[in-house]
Amino acid sequence: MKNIVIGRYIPGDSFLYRMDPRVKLIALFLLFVAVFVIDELWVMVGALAGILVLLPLGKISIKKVYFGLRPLLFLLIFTFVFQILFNTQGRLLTTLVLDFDPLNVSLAGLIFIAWFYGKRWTSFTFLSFLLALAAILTVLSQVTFLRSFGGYTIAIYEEGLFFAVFILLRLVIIVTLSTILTITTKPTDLNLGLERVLKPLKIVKVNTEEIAMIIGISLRYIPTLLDEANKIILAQASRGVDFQEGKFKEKIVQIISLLVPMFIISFQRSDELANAMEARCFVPGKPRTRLNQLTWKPLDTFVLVVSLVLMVASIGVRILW
Amino acid sequence: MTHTLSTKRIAFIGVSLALAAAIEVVFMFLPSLPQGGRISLSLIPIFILAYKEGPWIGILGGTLFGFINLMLSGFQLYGVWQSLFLDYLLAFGLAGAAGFVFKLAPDNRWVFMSGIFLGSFLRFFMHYLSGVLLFGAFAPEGTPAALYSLLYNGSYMLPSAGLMMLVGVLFFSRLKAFSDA
Repeated sequence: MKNIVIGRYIPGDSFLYRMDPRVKLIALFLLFVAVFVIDELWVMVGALAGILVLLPLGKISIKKVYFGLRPLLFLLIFTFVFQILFNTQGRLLTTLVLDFDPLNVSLAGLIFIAWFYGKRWTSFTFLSFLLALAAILTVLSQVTFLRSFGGYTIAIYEEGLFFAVFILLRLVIIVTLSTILTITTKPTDLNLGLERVLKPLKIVKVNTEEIAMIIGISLRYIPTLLDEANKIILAQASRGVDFQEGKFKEKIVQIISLLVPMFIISFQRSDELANAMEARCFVPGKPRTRLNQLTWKPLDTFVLVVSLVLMVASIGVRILW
Repeated sequence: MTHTLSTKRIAFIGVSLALAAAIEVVFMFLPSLPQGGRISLSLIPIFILAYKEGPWIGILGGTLFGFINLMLSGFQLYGVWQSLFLDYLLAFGLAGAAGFVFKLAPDNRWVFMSGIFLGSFLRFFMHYLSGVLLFGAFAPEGTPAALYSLLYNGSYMLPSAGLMMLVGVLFFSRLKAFSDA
């Protein structure tokens, strides 16, 4: 449990790390707007190229970003396939006729099984999946041994391909941008930045300072409570609770034996925390000073201007093109 | 929010949300689905917050937990920004509305259980709406988005609700002993 990372922050040093969290948040927002406004494929490809230049400049390894994208792979593939298969607008580009007969279907099944059990020995799960998919499609379309009992024609249309690529690029860009933010910013800094950025909400009587305080406490206490949970797991395990195995009823007992002490500990912690805060003269609603002040650097102004220009440019392209 | 919260309340809400996030991590061994759905007990601290401090604090805490959840998962909205409200802020915030049920009879464990059910149902309903309105395009061909969303979200919210109701009933007496003290 020790090595579970809270959030996605990875320590490092580059201009992306040195930027003010407020600027990062505002710039991210501006770039999101820009990406959502784009409706030309070449602009989208340009945006992707820009991001690919940004990553090495900011000393972020593409591998880390790829890990951020991985939970999304399923969704990406799904959208892509969906658009390609079911969008029938525009010019017909190409068709692929699939013939099913008992032998080639079972051959395709074998390839799938081979991929499914083979994927644990390779670190390129996604790449091998694509290869397996290509092999299955080739077998189904080219090889016919016996009389086929059915067929299916995959027709790829211009619009379908266009939208598939377009949506894919948009998702990849957006997720990469937000991954850059969370990789380079500690959750606590992010929280501080958000408090400052959302300050105008005070006009509608939302107390941003209080909310930021609560989120700050919570982020600070997650690792502490995880440590406590670890201790409880060890303590209960030494009394014979087995957290790995068990039937449903035993699982419930395990969960209760873990939850009750966690609750009691956090109730106590919150009492102690309130006392400690009051002992340090924390008065709700009163202005506070900070240990680490945010400083605005020339770099921040530069980044802000660049992202503003990008947003205006993409809106301009959309209107004028 | 015209009045400010007391220090004790701020600390309690903060630690409860940390507990909810910690529970999410500790109970990773429960089964999960792609696109974020998983059987989870992490609403229990929100329910306890709503039980001890009342529905409004419960709603506030739930909303903030939704935000923390989003923050810890790296701000991934799957490219649909409206999902911020439906899947995170509203879904978890409305779970705190269970407090309205708890208020009816704070000493009754069956009322506590129904409150948990209502809170889970409201969360489910928000995910359901988001599935129909925002992610309808991802439903497999031939399945209506409404049915797909119902099945997808129901498949993890129903066991979650059942598990939480079971756990809630089992430690209701301890919770009461602790909050009376």
